[in-house]
Amino acid sequence: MSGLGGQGLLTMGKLLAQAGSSHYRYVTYHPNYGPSMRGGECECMVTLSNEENASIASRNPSAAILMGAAAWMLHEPQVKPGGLLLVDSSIVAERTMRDDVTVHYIPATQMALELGLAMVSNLILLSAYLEVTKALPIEAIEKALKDKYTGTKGERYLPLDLDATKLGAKFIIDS
Amino acid sequence: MGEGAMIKQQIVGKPKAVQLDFLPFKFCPGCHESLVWRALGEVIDELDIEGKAIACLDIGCSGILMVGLTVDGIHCLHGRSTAVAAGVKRVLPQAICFNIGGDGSLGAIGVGHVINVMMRSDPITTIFLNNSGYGMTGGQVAPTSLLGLRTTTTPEGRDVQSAGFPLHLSEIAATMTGTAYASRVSVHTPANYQKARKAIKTAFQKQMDGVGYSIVEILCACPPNWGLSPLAANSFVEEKLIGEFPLGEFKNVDKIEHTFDPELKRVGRVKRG
Amino acid sequence: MADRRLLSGNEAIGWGAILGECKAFFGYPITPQSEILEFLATELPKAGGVFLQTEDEIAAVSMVYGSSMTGTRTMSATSSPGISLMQETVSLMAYLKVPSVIVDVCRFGPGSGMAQTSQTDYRQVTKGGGHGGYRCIVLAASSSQECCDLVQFAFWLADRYRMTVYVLTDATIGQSCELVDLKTRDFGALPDKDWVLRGLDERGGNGQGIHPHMWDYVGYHEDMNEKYREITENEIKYESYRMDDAEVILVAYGYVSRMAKGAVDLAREEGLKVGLLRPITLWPFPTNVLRELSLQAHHILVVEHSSGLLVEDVECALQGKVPVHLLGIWGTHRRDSSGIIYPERIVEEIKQMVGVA
Ligand SMILES: Cc1ncc(C[n+]2csc(CCOP(=O)(O)OP(=O)(O)O)c2C)c(N)n1
Ligand code: SF4
Repeated sequence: MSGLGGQGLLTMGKLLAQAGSSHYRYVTYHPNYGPSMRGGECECMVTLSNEENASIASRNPSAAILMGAAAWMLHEPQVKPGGLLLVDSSIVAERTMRDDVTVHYIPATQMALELGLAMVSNLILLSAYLEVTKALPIEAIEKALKDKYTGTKGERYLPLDLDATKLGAKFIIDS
Repeated sequence: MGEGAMIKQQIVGKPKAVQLDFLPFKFCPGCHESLVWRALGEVIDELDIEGKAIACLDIGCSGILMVGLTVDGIHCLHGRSTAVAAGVKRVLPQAICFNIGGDGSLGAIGVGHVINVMMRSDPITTIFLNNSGYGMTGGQVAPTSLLGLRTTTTPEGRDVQSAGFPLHLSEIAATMTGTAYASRVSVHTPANYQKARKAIKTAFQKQMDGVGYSIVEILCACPPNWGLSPLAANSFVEEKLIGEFPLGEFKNVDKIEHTFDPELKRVGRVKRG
Repeated sequence: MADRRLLSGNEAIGWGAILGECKAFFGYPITPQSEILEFLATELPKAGGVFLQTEDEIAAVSMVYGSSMTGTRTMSATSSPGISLMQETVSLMAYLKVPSVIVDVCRFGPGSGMAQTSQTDYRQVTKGGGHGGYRCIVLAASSSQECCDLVQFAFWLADRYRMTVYVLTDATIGQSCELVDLKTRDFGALPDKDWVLRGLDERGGNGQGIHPHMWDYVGYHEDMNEKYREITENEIKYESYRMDDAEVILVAYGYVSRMAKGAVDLAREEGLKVGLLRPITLWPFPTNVLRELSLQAHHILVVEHSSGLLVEDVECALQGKVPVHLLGIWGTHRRDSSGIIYPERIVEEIKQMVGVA
């Protein structure tokens, strides 16, 4: 998952890792942000597996969620053959020339704005990813969201978050 | 250009001494530190000391503005900017030497240097940014954190038993003979901003007149680490911070008087070759 | 079921301290270590321990010294610039044989920036950054699980040998999250702490301080050497991975060793006979193990996120008998400080080395 700071990439990655913890024996979440803590490029990698994760991260992941132009340039060529690309097409205008990967162009930020909060674009993409790969049931993310935000300041956004997860999955089903 | 427009330009325009490349400043929304830099730029313009000023920048949010001004700047290690500034001034007395740092840098790790420059009356100026916590590392407790304030290392609020009482550095400075000027200001309203600017100017003036050490403590909002919106953080300065840290001039002298007893020159041991 | 949680390396260090019966922590904020501080600020008091954020790292390590002298299991954690500041007191604790555990979440430093991952503290911690020619045991963790376990082991070693034990990690291990079994580890019986100072009320007799025998200065050094020899004999720890028929041996520690493990798997898929030796104790260094393994190897490739520090110990162990290659910081995936060394890059290097295109 790669894009810019502030898009909720790290939150999305941590959420996937947390949700994956009860479904997989080995889970690794690796965040990497640029030299500047404010804004700037930011990415993270999540590995869900039932075999020990030898490595913490890989240059050639089997799926990538890309939310920025720089992220696209860096990672579009790197995804494994046979892999999956999910692209926020409200931000990234490019189209892939590769024919060995599956691509979904999802106007996630646009959809999130229509829902009322740009910040939930990450959840739209995450649930789309789960709908395509079935790596986890969508309910696992919903549970992780509830666990994380119930009783905190973020609780008031919870209904919006849950709507966003439905929207992402629906986008894939409809397309 | 009419007079009104010129005044407006003077107020909202960029001080000459602020580097264009650094605008907009990369502070968080609602951070007061950018105003401090603006004020510094304006004072440097006013006193026309661009060519003589040397900034010693500490580590922390204030330090990320490495040469955000058009003056020479030295990036110092955490807490050491005061000592570095004193060193520069010793070998370059004509320089207008100031250091700028947060309450972690100058109130915790580097407070020993601050006390020592006061004691030695090093004619440098310290700009001490008090934002009631550690900015750059993400909101840990600082010596100036308000009692009861929740921080990432005092999750139940700052309590006296483990973290003691807030540090009042300006008041301490005022008790030191070597201090020429000590004041606390804020920048949360336009009127306060003007006072802050004046305080910085006076502090620099003390240095230029060779009176002694000067320090300006500036109360700054740090919205993300206080968990407040920029607007709420601004009010927090007015409603809470000033309550603990009253604004005002604590010392302002044009000459530091001192005497010593000539008798003492004859007491004590001297090694002779 | 065991308590299994998703934890960052830094949180796992905090849990390790709690499970290892740490009763006092003194530290100062610094990226990428601050999560340890923040975790213990909440959790250590609940476990009956003392937590204090000090005014700087010099104060932190001084308080560690004072607290350890009373026989309390005490820890500090910092990152590279903080380790530099602590060196004078670390030297003193080595001389006085005071146990302590210090965690170093390595960054490139200096204190003025660049808080991303790096492995540039190797010399500072393994060769002693201070004065007096002392040694510290250095344990290098490569996963969240190991962070938790090695901190517990560090407390045991510190008490067993009365010395400072470093736990070395890096920003990547510190920030990455993995599932951890929270288990208390038992490493065996420990000698009585008959040297502690807690006031006459507890011990009776006359007041005393601990001072090694200054009247026999050489004897003191002989004693210390004997201790260091004993540690080298008994405490070397390492992991060897898919080493059976390996003709290329990778040597790496910390986060890079995980990337190297991934590289071993990738290379084996392509039929290359590659294995990994991962030192867990960086001092004492597994010199003899490496020497023996190298008998079967044609190539040794050291991979580290620095310009070549670990490689010095490897070369020293192999005494020029097998060619030693280095993939250093130039192997990271981008040129700014956020770059890391990926498994695929290591495989490229192996291929180049053995001449496979
Ligand atoms: C020796 C050392 N220890 C710790 C740090 C990490 N560090 C960087 S900035 C900072 C705190 C800054 O807080 P403050 O001085 O209050 O400045 P602010 O960011 O609030 O302006 C710390 C602890 C460091 N750079 N060097
Ligand atoms: S963290 Fe606080 S002090 Fe630092 S830039 Fe942001 S608001 Fe300003």
